[in-house]
Amino acid sequence: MSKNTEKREGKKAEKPQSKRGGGRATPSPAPQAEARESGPSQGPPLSALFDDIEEVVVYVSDPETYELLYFNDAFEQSWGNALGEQCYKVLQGRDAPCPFCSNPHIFGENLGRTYSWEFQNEITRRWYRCLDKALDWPGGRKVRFEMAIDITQLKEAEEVMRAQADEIIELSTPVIPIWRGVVVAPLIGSLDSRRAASLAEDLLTRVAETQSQVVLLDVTGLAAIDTQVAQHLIDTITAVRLLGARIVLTGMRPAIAQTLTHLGIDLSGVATRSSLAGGLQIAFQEVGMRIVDEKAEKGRRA
Amino acid sequence: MAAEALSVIKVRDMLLVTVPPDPDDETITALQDRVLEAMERHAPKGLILDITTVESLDSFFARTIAETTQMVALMGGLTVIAGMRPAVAITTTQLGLTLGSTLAALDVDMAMDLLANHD
Repeated sequence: MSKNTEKREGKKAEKPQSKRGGGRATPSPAPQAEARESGPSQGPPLSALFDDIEEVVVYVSDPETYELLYFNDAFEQSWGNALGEQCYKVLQGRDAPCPFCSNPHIFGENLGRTYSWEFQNEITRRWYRCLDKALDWPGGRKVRFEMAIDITQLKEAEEVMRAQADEIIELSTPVIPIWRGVVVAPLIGSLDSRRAASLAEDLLTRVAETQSQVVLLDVTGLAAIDTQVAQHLIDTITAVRLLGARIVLTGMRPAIAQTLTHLGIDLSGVATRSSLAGGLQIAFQEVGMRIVDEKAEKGRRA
Repeated sequence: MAAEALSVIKVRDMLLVTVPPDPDDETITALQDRVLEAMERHAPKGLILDITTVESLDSFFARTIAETTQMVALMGGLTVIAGMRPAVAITTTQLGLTLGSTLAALDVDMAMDLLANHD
């Protein structure tokens, strides 16, 4: 009896209710018998190292036949006792070796290297960070050793963060049609290159969709302006012009006007107004409308 | 794209040119020749370049448009490009391409308005 099996049986005696080691302890056909006796040719056996670690999935498979030669308890909990079966069948539910198999990264000219990759298992739907390496196995052959750490929670957190970042970008650049041929886009917060790109894209798409001739770009809520932000604005203005629409910058606060002048940014070709109302007037002129103050007109007539 | 397939149509006192989706340099050059010929024959008020179907605009095309605008202006006409796609406008700006004094309109309809109201 090998040392491995003894240890398993010992465990079984301590915890009879546990299903641990069940299949693996029973004598079985040739490949499995060999597996039980094996382990890396030097150092402590794999089972002693990895059996009790619950957070990390560990398995060893043959690179030629894809047979599973060893796996720890964490593996068994997710994929069952599958000693001697093909790794692609058990882990991926496939009929043939996985097209993304990492064996080429750890055998051949990459022998001795550790290959690290992230991957979502199709059966458990969980994400793993996998570390693969070729190991010496009794009998002089090299085998594939994989250690996989469950990073599902991390991935989910990342996903949430990315979704939130996208949401912020979307929320921060609304493009609102306010009249036939006129849209308003209020800029809020800071304008980095990522947001500027999404602003330009959204704005141009909406202008084309709504066939708007005038865009009122309101910069009241813009946190700060520097040469880069100004360049983004100028690029957006140029792109909108190419489309055949016109941009009016509104909400020019004193601070922004001062900064733009001090930075030496020339906006002389662009219509700018201090208030949204001023911009609206230009917009209405452009689309051939007029705002009439009825009260004042009546007063004059009276 | 065969240059013969280009359509340069005279509508009232304007020229309407529909640019094919993916014009090569030869087509673009041919387009300029055809436009200038038509300018001479009809002496229209202006030229509308409908680029609604155009998916990409390179530096050669941009320069030719700018030059054609200048040439048409010398012959007494205004040039308006109509219907540039948002994605094309963004790339054009990113590449730093300019179309000189060419006017732009959202579609052919508005381009016609623009030419009609221009004196």
